[in-house]
Amino acid sequence: MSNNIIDRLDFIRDLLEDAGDMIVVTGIGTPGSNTRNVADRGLNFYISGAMGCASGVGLGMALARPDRKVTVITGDAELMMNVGTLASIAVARPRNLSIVVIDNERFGATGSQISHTAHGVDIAGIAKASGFPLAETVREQADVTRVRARIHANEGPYLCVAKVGANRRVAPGGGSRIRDGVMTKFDFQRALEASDAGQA
Amino acid sequence: MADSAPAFYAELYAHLRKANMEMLAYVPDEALGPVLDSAEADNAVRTVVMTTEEEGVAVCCGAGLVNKRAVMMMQSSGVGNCVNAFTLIQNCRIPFLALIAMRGEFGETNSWQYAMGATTAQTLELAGFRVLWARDPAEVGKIVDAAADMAWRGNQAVAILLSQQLVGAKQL
Repeated sequence: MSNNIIDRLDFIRDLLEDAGDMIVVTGIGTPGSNTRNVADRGLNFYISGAMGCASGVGLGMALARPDRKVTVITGDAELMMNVGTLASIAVARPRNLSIVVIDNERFGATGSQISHTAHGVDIAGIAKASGFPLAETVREQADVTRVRARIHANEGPYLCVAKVGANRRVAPGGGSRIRDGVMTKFDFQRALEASDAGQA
Repeated sequence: MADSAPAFYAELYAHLRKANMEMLAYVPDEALGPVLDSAEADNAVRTVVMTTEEEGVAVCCGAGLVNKRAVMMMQSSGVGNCVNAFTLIQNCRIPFLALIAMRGEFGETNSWQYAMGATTAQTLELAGFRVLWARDPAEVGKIVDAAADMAWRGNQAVAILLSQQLVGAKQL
């Protein structure tokens, strides 16, 4: 049974409202293209391959830059591919790291085959049991305000699973415009340098 | 570091620090114990324990993307766990340095280790790494210097393989 009423595009758009100088990392799949479609910004780093690596990349950035908030936006199957990273994050305990899982209970990009979470695997439960101080599952668009506040509170590591509709849902006119990896890196690093210079 | 550790370990660590390594992600190995001990005793280096080596690849890429020098330390068995994560390095051309202790090689007595040991260097090369072997304790310092320059100045993926000729074959 699912009662998904969160629209993934609205959720991501609202989540990144007032993102300021926060670093955002997106994992392979629809969450990345959604983020690019509704909240593209220089400080977003889009991973369009290496499934399972988004949370690890976020962890490395968060530990290397404790002065910056880092938020990973990724899908449930992408996260599950390296679910052990939640344990490593809990052990490393970066206050500035948040993981937001856009959970459609599907392997969306490969034809929407049902995924582990559709069978009841509870990612927030795994995070809590691993030692995240706060992990939760949200099911309503209105919850995004609280999620955003928790990210900005910088008292992580924090994990939020947002249960969304099962359809892939892309923005009107927006597809998955995958960019070259080296270009993605340079765009991100230029934005980070500019942002650092602005704070100096 | 344990006083009983061979002297090259201290040199290896000192050269990583001279090259400004500030983070060490790892899945432990007995032959890498002295390096981990040094890092844990060093306030300037953040150690990060991983559940699997591919996580460590992601973590070091994340650090590299924000210009922090990180090293991924693992046993050769872990290289096989990393193949898809290595594509992140190649796709984004992220400077990357791996420190790998070999199994299944010089003097190995556990037959189960040979299959991965035999393919470690080639797996790395196929994934785009420059592979440097360390066999002689007298050469460890200069190999670390070269690897660090190639990775962090030359912008390459580089792996240092510590041969069992150097670190010894674990006696079972």
